[in-house]
Amino acid sequence: MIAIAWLIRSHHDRIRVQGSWPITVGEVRELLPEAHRLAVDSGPKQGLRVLDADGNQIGYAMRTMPHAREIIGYSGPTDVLVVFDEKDKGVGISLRHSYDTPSHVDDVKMEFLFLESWNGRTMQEIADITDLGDAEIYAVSGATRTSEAAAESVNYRVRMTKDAEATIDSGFSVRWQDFVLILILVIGAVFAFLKNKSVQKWRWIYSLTTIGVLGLWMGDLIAQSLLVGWVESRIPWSATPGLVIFVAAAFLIPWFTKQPIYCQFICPHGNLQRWTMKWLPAKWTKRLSKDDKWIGKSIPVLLLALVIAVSFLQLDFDLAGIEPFDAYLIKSAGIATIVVAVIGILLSLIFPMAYCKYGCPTGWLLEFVRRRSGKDRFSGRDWIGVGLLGLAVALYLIPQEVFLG
Amino acid sequence: MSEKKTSSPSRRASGLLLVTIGITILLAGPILDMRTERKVRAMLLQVQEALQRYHIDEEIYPRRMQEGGSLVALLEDEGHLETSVLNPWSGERYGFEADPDYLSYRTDELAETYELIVTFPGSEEVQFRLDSTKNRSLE
Repeated sequence: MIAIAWLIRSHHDRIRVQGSWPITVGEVRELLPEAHRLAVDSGPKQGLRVLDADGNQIGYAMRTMPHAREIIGYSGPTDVLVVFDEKDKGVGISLRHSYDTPSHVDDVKMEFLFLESWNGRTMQEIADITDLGDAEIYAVSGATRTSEAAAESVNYRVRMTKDAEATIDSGFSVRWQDFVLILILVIGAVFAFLKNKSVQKWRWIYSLTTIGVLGLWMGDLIAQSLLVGWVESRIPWSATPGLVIFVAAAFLIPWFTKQPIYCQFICPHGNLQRWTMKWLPAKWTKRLSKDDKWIGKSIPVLLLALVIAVSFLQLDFDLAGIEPFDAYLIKSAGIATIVVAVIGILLSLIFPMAYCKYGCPTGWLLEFVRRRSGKDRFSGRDWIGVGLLGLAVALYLIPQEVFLG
Repeated sequence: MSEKKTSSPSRRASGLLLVTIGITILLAGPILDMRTERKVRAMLLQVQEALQRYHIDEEIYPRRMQEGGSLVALLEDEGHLETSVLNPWSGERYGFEADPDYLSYRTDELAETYELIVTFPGSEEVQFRLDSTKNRSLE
């Protein structure tokens, strides 16, 4: 699971930094001949660390697009590659693709005096440039606007980098919702670990509270859309610390104690299904055959494969729609999530806890963690995990053009 | 349904196949949309570059507002397109009237600006807008 999460994160860092027109090591090598490999820097600079054959960092590369897309030359913006050496000094720029007039772009590409204007300047010196003329960076005759825009793009991109470094602010904030989540978690743990009757007799109130407060009021259910969002971008430690602790505990408590605290005690959808079991006579329920159970258990696994594919290929597919959890926020819920929620509940009237057992990819992940706890034997679930990791590795390594044309 | 003691591999295989087909169908639409979107982006950049060449030569953009097919034919005829442009919605060479075409070209009265607008198939909703004033890049 950690390996899959790392691959997704690395893939999205690569896309964030490289955008639609990835920088190639060949481009960088023209300015820094020892360049052997490029490593994505997911920090505030959002560029690429340039490595030599031994893996030592020998420079830094960045492109101006899409950050400088508002800086227009004659008829459009230009993507400029900017390369620095290991001492943070510029070694050159080169014009990459451009939305500007092709003949003007060609003129700038041929003007080496202009292209070398940044050589020897540090990032800070470039960031401090406010007037191109004062900094002795002169436009290319015949392509004045295109070259000025390219120069401004370089300065803007480097300034943006320095500003981002300077303004990294954790901005740690705790909201009342964070305290409510922690309270729900703590009470859930009480019911999970204290099995005496005097405690358990209150569980029905807690169960209804999770449906009302955690589900319908706060809508903070653990879902694939949430987990994938965090893995793709970053975990919002500072913005919603309570939710982060809540999700971390849902994975870590089963790992250390084998107690499925979230699925069995906290999850509002699980609790709603438990109430349907209580309300309906047992004689109405049916049991699935062994084969049907086997087939049903494949659904969450294949849904996880879908989640991995959607994330890697960045498909326009709302992952909230494959689970019922967003349906609790009724006002903003999409049709798909409502349909999944309603069908899940209806099925659970006949087949108890049907959604939890045969439909929930998030539950499968939590159960996967719980069952791995303290076990040395490689089970069928582990093979499924290996299969999902294999899918993630394939999507990470195979160029997207193979799938997306 | 009663619990069966023996399992049937063929039933499991057909059930798994059914589930796999269902998930594949869920993915197929977004993948096909993404493939088309990437082709549309590539086509737009080709046409934009050709329009800029046209502007250098003629001092104005094409005067007539038109659909993608006829614009591409015009740019090809006048030698502003270096390679032939494929219609992203049909995969064929642009220009056949029967093919779907969701690209339209607009210009102002003096033909000093242009707009390339791509709508989602079967709707008026704009998918991409590339022009000479505000939206000059697809990034």
